[in-house]
Amino acid sequence: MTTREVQSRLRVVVADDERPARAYLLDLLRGCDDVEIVGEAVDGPDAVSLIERTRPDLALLDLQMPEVDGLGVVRLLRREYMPLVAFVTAFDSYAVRAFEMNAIDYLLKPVDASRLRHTLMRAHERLDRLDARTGMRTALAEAVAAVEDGRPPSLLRRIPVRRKDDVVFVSVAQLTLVVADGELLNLTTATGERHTITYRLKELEQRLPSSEFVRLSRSALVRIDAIQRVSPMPGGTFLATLHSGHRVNVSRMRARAIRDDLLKL
Amino acid sequence: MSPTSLVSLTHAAGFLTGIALYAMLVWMTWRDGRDVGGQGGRDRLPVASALLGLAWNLGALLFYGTPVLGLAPASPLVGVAAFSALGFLPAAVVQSAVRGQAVRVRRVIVGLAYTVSTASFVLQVLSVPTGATPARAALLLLTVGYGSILVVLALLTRQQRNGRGMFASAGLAVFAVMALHLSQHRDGADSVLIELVGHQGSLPLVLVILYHNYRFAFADLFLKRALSLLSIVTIAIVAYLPLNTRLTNQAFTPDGGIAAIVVYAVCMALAYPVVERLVGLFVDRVVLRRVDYRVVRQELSEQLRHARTEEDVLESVRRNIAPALSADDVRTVSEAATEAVAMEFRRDSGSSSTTVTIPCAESPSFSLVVSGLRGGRRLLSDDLAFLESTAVAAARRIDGLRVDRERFSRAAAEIEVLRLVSEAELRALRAQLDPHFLFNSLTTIGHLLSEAPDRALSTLLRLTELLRAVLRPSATDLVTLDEEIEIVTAYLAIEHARFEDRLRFVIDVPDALLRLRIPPLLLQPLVENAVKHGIAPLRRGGVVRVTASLDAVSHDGRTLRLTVADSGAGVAAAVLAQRRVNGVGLRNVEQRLFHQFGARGGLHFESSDTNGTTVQIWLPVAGGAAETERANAPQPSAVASRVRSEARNAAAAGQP
Repeated sequence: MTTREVQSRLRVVVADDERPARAYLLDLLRGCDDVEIVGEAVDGPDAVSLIERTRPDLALLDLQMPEVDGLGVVRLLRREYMPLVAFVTAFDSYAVRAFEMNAIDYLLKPVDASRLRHTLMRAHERLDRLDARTGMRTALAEAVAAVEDGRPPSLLRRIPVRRKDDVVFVSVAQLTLVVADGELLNLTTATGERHTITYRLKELEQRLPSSEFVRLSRSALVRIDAIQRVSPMPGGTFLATLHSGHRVNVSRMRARAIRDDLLKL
Repeated sequence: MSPTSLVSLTHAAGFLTGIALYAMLVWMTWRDGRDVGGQGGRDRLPVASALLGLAWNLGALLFYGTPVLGLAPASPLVGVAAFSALGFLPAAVVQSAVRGQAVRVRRVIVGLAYTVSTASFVLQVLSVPTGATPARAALLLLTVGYGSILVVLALLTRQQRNGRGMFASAGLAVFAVMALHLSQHRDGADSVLIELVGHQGSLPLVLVILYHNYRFAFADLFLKRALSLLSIVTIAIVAYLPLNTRLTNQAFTPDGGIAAIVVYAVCMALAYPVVERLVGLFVDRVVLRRVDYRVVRQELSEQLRHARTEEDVLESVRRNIAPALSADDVRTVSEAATEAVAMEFRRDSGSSSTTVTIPCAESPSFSLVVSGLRGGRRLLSDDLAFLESTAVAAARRIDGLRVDRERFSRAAAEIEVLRLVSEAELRALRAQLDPHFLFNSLTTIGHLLSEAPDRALSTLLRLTELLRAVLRPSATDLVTLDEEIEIVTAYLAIEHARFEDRLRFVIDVPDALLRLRIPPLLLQPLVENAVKHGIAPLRRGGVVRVTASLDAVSHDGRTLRLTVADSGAGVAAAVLAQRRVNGVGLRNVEQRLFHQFGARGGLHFESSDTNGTTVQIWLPVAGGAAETERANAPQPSAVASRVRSEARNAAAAGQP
């Protein structure tokens, strides 16, 4: 019971790039006595480090932030630090539908105080149940993927990645190779840096310029300029060798497309 | 040539002419008399009169002309028949003359006439055994009888308008004289003139009837031929006289004489067609007063040129054709009805109708139905050619009108489509009023309510202003540049309240341009894009700059250039292409400029990672000359442009 009382004050962070909106939400939170505001973040990377540093119970993440939005924050957060999340959005009917389907809480701007209280209550309830927290992590990943799927893909210019505790941006112009590994993607840059992000290869492919990247197999996406050599392999497939020395197998399925497109003068 | 033989010759020629004319009259009356009034009853009287006249002339030719023709004298029965015919002719004339009189009067007069004629006939028959044909008593009876009838008839019919009574009277007078002469007849005793009048009294009658009632047929069938023949004979005789003199003087060698005669014959043969044409022309123009088709055609084409509707065209065709062809009934009917109308004519008037198609390129086509030709007129080849050419001219004009109408309606439709498109685009733009923007603005206001209530109020009012402008009901009305700048300013002010120092903006529009009129919501979407895609994605923010300038006056008016530039994120070509497909703003503005101004309006887009994005649009503007002068003149007031931005932002804009 004592733990419960200690935990009864919900530790909350707020992430929104717009100060008035942030201030508005913080004002509302201050009006709730069972809430402890542990910090506010002004953008996505800020939110990631804030959350990992302060380990809040609940993060109120704005869906619309420069470069790394609320969904990006969820992507970048290490699983073990993942708090309960409620997204805040001005108007995003598609995202709202995805959140509802995955039982992810959300708040609509301008946030209504009673609606906020409801969210806080639900967070309280979920905190008590470990299964709810793990279940929510999965649901969160699902929802994020669903929202990304549903949005018209917008081209990325920089990809936010984790480097230790920091969030750094890898310029798409530097990206040479993307290899899928389970739920993760391994990125390799022209300078040989390697990064891991939580993303689906299909989605990332859609957000990269199709004129610059080519899918060589189910698990590999390569910058066309980075390919040095394509060697035929027994069985009608190819082996692509990059300038960096990486070798990538071309799947049988893609071999035809490669032959028709890439190997043509 | 003895006077007797001359008289006989004259008789023979007169009777032959009479035969020809009465035969024609028979044919005409026969053709004309069919189904008068559609009552099924044939009008037999004119036919009977014509037949009687024909019989008289035939009989008289045989009776009087046999010596000339070198035949054996005809039997007295022929004389009886001829004189009987002559006796009944006035009766028929009287009967037709009293039509329209009271029944009793009619019965009395007609009865009287037939009594006289019958009595005369009986006297003639009785005279046969005595060999005194023609019976003098019979002829005297005719003279006295019709002389008196004539007086009564003249009194009765003097008000009749159509002249039938007059002809009847004239005819009867001639008959009376004729009968008197014949009753006193002694071969060769009278002068040729008296003989002529006495025997050929039926000729003027038939001539007058033919000329009056069957002018065209008479002229075409008889007058033209007779005149041509007469002319060529006269010419031949006149030409032969000098030749004859030389021949008799033996001025030629025998071969030369033959050659001269051959040449003469050839010349006459060659002259005949010319003479015939000249006579035809003379008859057409002078006797018939037939219109000159060239003139009619010119007049018609002039009228057609001014015709504005198909009905106009048809109306002027009808108006011109009816008098030209002396037709009572000229109709223009749509193609489908042609057959029915032609049938109707046949049934109603018994007279045939002529149908000419007005060959329009597209249905509905029309037909020209001409009927009720007066004066026994038939349509000759040049009439038909005239009809055809008129029909073709009318058809061309109708086609032209249709094409014009189609072109006009298409142009109107295009304009309408463009208007609708512009409207729809504007509506789309309004619908596109970004809900994000709206709710974020409300959030901002919500925050400001506690932090700075007066700024909350001013932001609220700006938002109201913007919503009102965007939701304005009239879609295509032009607004002044000033109004558009107000909207843009309101928008930027709201966004500034939201993004605070991240958004700085400068609006730099010369005062002189503020009254220029432009389509609504051209700048706002561009500014919105600049904030949304240029400023919002950057944590450090940037500047949005709105400027306007006026090109120097060129041949097609003045061009206003509006530029929205941001120092923001910039956009790659690929992203831009994608955004143009997904978003409405840029494309919408571009399309509206295109639809409203065509090549004179346009949009230029420029973007780079380092310098942000610049969008320039240009469009032709109308406005007072004074404005132009002021706008273009390099005077300080124009240079001192209107900078509308909050002092704080202006200061901030100075920094990179």
